[in-house]
Amino acid sequence: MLWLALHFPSLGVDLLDRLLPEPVPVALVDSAGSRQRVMQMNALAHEAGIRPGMGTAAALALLPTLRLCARDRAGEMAHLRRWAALAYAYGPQVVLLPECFPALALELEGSAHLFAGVEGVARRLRRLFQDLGVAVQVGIAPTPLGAALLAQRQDHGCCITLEQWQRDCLDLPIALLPLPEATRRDLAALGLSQVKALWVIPRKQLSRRFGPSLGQLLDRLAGITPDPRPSLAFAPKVAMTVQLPAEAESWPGLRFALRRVLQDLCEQLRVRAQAAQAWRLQLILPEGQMTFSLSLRRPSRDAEALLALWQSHLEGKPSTAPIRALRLAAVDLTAYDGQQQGWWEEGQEEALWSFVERLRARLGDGTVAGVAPVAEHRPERAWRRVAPGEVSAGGGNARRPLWLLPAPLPLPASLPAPPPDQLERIEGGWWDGRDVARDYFVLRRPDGSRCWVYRDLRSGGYFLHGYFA
Amino acid sequence: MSQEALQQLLQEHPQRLWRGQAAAPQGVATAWPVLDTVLGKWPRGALTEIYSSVDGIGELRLVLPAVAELSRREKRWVLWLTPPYLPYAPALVAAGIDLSRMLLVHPRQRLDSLWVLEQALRGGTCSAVLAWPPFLAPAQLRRLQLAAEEGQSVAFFFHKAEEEGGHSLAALRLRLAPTPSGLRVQVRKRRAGLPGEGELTFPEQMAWSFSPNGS
Repeated sequence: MLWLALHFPSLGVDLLDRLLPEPVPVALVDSAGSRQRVMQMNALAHEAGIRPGMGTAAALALLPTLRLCARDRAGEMAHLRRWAALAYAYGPQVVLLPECFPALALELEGSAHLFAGVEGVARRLRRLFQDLGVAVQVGIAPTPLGAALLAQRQDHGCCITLEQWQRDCLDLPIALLPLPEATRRDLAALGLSQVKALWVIPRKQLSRRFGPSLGQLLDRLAGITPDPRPSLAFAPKVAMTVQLPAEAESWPGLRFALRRVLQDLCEQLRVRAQAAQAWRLQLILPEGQMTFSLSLRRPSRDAEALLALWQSHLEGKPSTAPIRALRLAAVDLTAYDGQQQGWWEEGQEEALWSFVERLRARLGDGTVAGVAPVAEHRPERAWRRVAPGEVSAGGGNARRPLWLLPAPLPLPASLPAPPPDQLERIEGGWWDGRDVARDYFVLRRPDGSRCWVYRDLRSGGYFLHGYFA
Repeated sequence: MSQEALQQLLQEHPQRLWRGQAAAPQGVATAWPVLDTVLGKWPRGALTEIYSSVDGIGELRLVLPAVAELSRREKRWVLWLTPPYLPYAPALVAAGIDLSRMLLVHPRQRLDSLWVLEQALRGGTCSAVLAWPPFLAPAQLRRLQLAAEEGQSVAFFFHKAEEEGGHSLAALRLRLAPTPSGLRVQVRKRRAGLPGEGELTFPEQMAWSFSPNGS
């Protein structure tokens, strides 16, 4: 077995930071215990001298513009689970490591060769999370716990063979092990700092002193006993809720956060080999919420194109109250059908369709259409509006005008009758009660236009029906 | 330099001598041999303005061979913005247009028409744009011209003859007039080229002429 672990050293603050349209110093505060302390901060806050463990009063005194946010462990966990789904693109098993929170591990012994080795997988995952705006550290080891500890200690920790790992893991610091605080303190008091030191203590003694769990932990770490963990299941829905770090009232404030959410969800759709035909956006206000939906002509998972669509949809519709949070859901999922095409064609196709979607989103339904011929005698029924891009098999007719009038226009009745050999008689429609009997001919008017005119055989009246433009 | 010497030079160095027309923007063949010398090709990435006094004199037949070719050759849209009548599908098919590439757009508001044109021209998603736009102020026209330069579309803007003004940013401006057997195409402005005139002859169906006195 070979495990690749992902550790997110600043997950909480990254989740806030990546939703901010412009950089603002942010710190994450843990409310556990009697005093609130800073746990994580973004780069701006770090530059200003904010450090982990600082009291909130001290931090605010140092940087009055600092924005303090409470840690949302449940939210972080939800993200972690969603990202686990992304990791499934590279290996058959993904597990959460709750004791090393926030971390997850991916088994890739059998699949690494598909991605140019473990380094290839690591590189792809690194780039993925960089795009999502989250810092990540990667560790690789023959056990999931070992990989997680390597990732936590430093980025790029890597050990491939079990033999080597059983030697390497002895050098890990005890402080890194996921142990209860009391045990950790006791071990430090004994002057033990490396895993090596625990290993030489006879197991009976170790277990009498610290309970059986410590020995079991060491065995699992070194790969002596198996470390079975439940595989994470795919989330049934592709949906995501985020709290906005700053309240927004209109499109510009929303855009940045929505973009992140779309990136995240589209990445998930990619891993699932799916695309969504419809999207639902809920904007959560202090009281109540606003819901918008977007239905597409073709399923899509192109984050930038979808963002442009939402923009056309939401621009100029300011909210009545500040928006606290947003929830975006991909509904109506279908298998993605773009695989057969080369990526360049897919890109071009997507651009063509996203253009149509953009038009429809801005102009409304019924304003964008295609046309198709219909096999039918009556000229006004020999065509129909269709959805753009629809391929129609109907034939053409070179004797028909390029312009058709929406409705025949009555002409003064004093037209001279044309010679019979220039007439085209069109009759039909008795089957649906709208039958016509007309003699069509081409008429050249003094102004030079070539008109398509008919004489109604019943009433004897003349009508203009089109132009040979 | 005498005229003979000039002719000789032109013949000896056809590639190396720059002649005004060579600088004309790349374009799409019109498929009307008469027009090859009068206007060259339909410009790409630039606007073509077409003025005519009446509808139905052959304004579509002038441009459709090129549009049909584009619809079949390029996997992009052929966008029709607010045409004055219905582009009639049976005739379009007969003209060789791939209808699955065709987009018929009718915005409800004037301002949206400009938005559509800009999106269509700039994005590179349309091989051809046929527009019957509302009146365009010079600044709006300039904006559209800049958009057209990005998108590499062939753009035909159809106007009424009486709207023709003096100055224009378009790469090509034509004025159409009917003739008994076809269409007179007058080149009023042409980038890197001289004005000229040509006449198209349509393979006409028999038309029943009519004049007010009933002859």
